Amino acid sequence: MRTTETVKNETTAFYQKDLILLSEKVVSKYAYTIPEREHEDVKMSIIEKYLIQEEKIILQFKGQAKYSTYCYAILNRICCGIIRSEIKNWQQNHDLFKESQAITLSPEEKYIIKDEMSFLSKILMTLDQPFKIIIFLAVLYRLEPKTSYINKYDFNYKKHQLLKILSKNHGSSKAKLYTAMAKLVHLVEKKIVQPDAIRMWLNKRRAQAINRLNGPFNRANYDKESFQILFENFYTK
Amino acid sequence: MDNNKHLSEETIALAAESLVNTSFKNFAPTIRQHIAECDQCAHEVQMVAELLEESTQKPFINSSTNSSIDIKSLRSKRSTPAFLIAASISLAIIASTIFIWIENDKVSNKIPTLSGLNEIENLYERTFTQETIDSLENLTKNTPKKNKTKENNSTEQNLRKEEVLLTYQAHPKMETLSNRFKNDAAHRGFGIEIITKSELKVESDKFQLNWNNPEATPLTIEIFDNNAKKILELESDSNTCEIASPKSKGLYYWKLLDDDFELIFCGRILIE
Repeated sequence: MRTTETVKNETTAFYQKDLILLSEKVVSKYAYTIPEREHEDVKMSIIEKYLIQEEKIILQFKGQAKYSTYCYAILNRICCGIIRSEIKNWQQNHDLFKESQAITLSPEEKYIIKDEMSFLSKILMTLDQPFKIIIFLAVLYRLEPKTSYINKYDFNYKKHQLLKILSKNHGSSKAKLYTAMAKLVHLVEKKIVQPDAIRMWLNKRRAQAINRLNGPFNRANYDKESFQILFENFYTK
Repeated sequence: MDNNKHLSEETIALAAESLVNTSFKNFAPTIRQHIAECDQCAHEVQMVAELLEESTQKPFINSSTNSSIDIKSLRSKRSTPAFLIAASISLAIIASTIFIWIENDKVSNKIPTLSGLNEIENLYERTFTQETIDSLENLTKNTPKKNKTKENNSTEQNLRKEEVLLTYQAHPKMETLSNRFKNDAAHRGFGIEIITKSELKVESDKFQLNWNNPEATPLTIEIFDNNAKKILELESDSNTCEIASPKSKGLYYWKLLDDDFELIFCGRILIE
């Protein structure tokens, strides 16, 4: 916890030019949702709402996080509020990722894919048991097991021979894949679960990840197939 | 600006910072749990983390680096001598062997007797239709006589009757599952319409399961015995599946699953 003096210094150092810059960055994160012609208006609305509540915002700051991060959170929340109230009036630009059918990707598209993979990794990290989800999705999509993720799920993975269990399922039916996952849970978490329970658990987590990728304002339109493509890119990078 | 249902902006900021610093797993468990469950708060944390990452240009996940750090820290904690570990494993194996030996001894005294059959019948009353009881009685009547004492013959017949009744004994979990689809209720869409009845009686050496699969979706058919043990698994993208009847009479269950292994239907099969 920082001293009152430090907090005061941080807040006074937050000049208006920083406010404009941060607002621009926040609006750019919702480029898929906010039509281009509305970007400037939304940015000015964010700044206006911030300035109206500035005193309250500063008073509520407890000094636990950095002030700049706190401002990002404030501006992001204000922006989300504006989008919720205006979204019905806007025409939305969906599926920039999905619509790209080119065999060779432009630098812009490559950047977008990289951005999406980074976003996916954050989403997975905020879910319950993230490394278990990553490993099980890799099994489901028949990807090579990676010790870096397996180690985070079970540091005793060598003793439990998890790599051996995971490696021999490449040509297997889905039923056998879920049976292998159930075996992993039994070895690592000492729980006896049915493959069916694993299937339902993983489907739920995958649906949650897809829902969060698409965001509350239709930033994207992922489905199971496009999610699999994104995950494979993320996993094999 | 605090919302009673959602996290405050400062908590969102703290969570985003921990996500960027790869210390999210050490964050307050209640808040982590809320983020795992609340899409709105998760979205805000993710967006703020993205903004923070862009401003600092610091990659927040590097599994290889983290794993090497984790391994090093764990190695320093491992100080238990190897022989103690080996001794405790040996003791555990011996103890479990003794336990299994004792349990098997107990189980061998629990084979159901004729006096227990009425209890079984009461528990699974619906399974034993009049036709089934008649066929069982005929089975016991038609049992060929052997050159044994009357007492031995009677014991053998009783045991056989017990065995046959056990093969018609319903499995509680499978019954619960199949009941959901009884009376053609709520087969789970996916564009598949089930034609076979929820309870199928089979008296021949093969039977057919039918459905409408207009989009030729790859489907999986699983057959289970009445101990919920899978005895057959098939794949099909057509509207029907022909299966050879199991050699043993009794109650079986079948499941139809889509290509994501979501359950479309569960039904019962009576082999008579």
